[in-house]
Amino acid sequence: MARFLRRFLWSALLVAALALALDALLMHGLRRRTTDVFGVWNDVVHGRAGADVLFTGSSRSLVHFDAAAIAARTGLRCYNIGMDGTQLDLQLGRLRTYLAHHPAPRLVVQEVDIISLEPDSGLYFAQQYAPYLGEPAVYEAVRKVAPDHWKDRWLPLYPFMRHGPGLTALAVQGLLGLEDTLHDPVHLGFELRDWKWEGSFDNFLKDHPDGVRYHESPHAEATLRTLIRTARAAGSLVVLCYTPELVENQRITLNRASILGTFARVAREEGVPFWDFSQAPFCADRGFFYNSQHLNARGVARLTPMVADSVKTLLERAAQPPSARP
Amino acid sequence: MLFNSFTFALFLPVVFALYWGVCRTVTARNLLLIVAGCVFYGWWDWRFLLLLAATSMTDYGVAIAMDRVADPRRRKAWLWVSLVGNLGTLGIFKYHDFFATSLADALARAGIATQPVLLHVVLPVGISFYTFQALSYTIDVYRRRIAPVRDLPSYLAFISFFPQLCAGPIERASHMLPQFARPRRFEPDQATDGLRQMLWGLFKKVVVADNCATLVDRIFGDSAHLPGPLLVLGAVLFALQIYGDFSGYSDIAIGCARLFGFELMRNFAYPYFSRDIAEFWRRWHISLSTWFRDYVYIPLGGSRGGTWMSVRNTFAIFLLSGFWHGANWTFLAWGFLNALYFLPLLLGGRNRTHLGTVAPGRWLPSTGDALRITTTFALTCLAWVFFRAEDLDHAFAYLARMGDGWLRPGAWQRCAAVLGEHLLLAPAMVCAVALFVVEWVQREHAHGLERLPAQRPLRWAIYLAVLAAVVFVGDHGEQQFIYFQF
Repeated sequence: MARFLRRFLWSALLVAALALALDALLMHGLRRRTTDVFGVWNDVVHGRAGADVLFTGSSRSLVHFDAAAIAARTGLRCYNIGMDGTQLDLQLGRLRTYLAHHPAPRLVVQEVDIISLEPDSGLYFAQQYAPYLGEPAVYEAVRKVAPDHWKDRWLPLYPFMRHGPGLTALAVQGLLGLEDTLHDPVHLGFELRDWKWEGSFDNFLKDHPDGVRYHESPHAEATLRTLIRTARAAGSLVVLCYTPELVENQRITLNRASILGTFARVAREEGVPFWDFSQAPFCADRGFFYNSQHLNARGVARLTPMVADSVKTLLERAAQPPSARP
Repeated sequence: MLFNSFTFALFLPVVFALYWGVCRTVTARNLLLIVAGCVFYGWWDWRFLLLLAATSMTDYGVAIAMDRVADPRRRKAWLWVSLVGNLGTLGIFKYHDFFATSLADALARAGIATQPVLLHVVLPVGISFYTFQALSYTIDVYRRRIAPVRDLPSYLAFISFFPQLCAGPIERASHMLPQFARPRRFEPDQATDGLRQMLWGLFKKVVVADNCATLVDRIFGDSAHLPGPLLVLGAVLFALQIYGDFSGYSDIAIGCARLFGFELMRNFAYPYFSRDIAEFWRRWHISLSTWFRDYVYIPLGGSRGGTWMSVRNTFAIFLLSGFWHGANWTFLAWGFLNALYFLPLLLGGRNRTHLGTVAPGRWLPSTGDALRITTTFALTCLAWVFFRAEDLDHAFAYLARMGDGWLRPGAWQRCAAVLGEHLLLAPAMVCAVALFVVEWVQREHAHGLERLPAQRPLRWAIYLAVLAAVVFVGDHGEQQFIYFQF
């Protein structure tokens, strides 16, 4: 028995050592990536996303704020750390990670939308977090949403088992420098989605003939306040920004006034501006959207000057001495 | 609890350590195995433990009662108590709704509208397996092949032995009970080989079966719109899936039992290298085939009553075997088709032609054997279509479409497009081929990793390659084993 156990332990140790080494190598591959979501994460954790204006939020931040175009129009350095499929807990984790690796931006534009106050419903594209779970803020946020993800941090190679060969392929690509940089849709954290109207909203309308009501979670509101205070404590100005939304969707949302009222109240109580771009005239036209809540390239082109000019005005006004402000 | 789960990876070492490290007596070890069996089985739904306990205790009592009476009629009466108790439970949980809806359908065709009373009960995991295992005990006691067990912990440990509780092998009491009654010594070689067999089983399950399942589900789910070549591929992949899934489970179960000093019966002997369907059935799910042989075929007269009797009995066990798998006409059709395959061999007296391993001592089979293996595999794949299909209409439509589109360029483009959606499965397909290469090389051994080369570096290279495949290619979504539903 003792001999068996000794042999077994030695074998297990050998396998564990190999697993650790391989895990480190593959994670290194992921941390070397410069494209797609990993590229943005790597910019964030390696301090390469320095910006005067930082856009943060969910997929609506990701696909609406064209950081390069806004930078060109304002003359300011911009970066977008919006993340697909996330709620405020994860957005706060990402912002904290950004602040841990960069000087505070002059302005943080926190995107909010009709589902911002919904409770977290799990991790979307969960593999993106695996290489960054050593970041305390990321780990804390991920564990809040998916407590089971301690395994991804502590068990070598577990992320590659959990998330399948796709993640391994990305890691190997990163290691060998085989990324398709030419066709990367992400630039400075902004992802251009020049997609056609996808039709999912029409099904949604059929499924909800009497309208739809979204959750307004007190936890989400508290997280939003924490997020604002975190950015302000770091020395940034903060803006809450409600991005464009198709009017048809606005009409079927039964508690829209309440949700927007919450954002306005939070902004007022926290002393930050609240911009609402959902009242822009082009929000009535499906031609600017690929679904009810996301703009296509045409829509982004229409939104960009509006955001850029608002940012510029706000920062110019903030730079004036208090006595000179209107 | 699933063998391919994180929970089991924690559960097994704990039970192993307590079993060899803390429990020293036979009774203590059996009690621990009972507790482990309850935790393992109750992980799904603890309420089913009550069912398991009720049927087990009934059989325990029946066997002792049978032993106490000499009158054959009273002994038979006790046997009927066990048969009714076990098969009645199985009938209620597994077959009641099927019979009720089938009867209502039949009456509706005759113009009589009825509203069937359906129970909609959840099928307890492994009920068909442990019911048959318990039946083997009471029938063997009735036949006086074994004496009833009075040591309750031994008996309960046998019934609830976690490695084979949910999906077999369906053990015989005569084989297992003596193992539970005698003192067990730790055998390092047995345990080491058990670990190897578990690794091989895990490879079959998570690398081959679960990855094939992705494509199989896609193809069977959309079979009405996919071209023939893809449907053929779907049938072949399902053959690989079900083999990887079930033989993988059996390998893990047998390997796991060996860690605790038990030898379970072999359940698979490389069935896809069979040269005819009779050989296939001697190599596929051996514990069920032999169960039907011992407890149905032979009592019905076997092959002793002439050709007609043999044919009748053969059809009976194939249909019963199909029905054992599930309450659906598709399983009956699958059993019937296999009986049809078997018929020419039986009538020609060639059903025991291929008893040994194919091409012993050679690298490759003869051309004749290769053709026979290919034909048997093709026939098996056709039968699997019934096994996998949702209903008979689906199965017939699937089979009818298998010949469609072979000469149409558009069909091949569609095939390429569908396969292109699943490019990430390519390494798994390579592993599936590797599985058969390894098993061909190892076909004279009990499992794919038995008796590897003596050189340690080479052996370790093989272990690490299999482990790497499990880690990087395996599907770790903790997919349930197909046979759990039976």
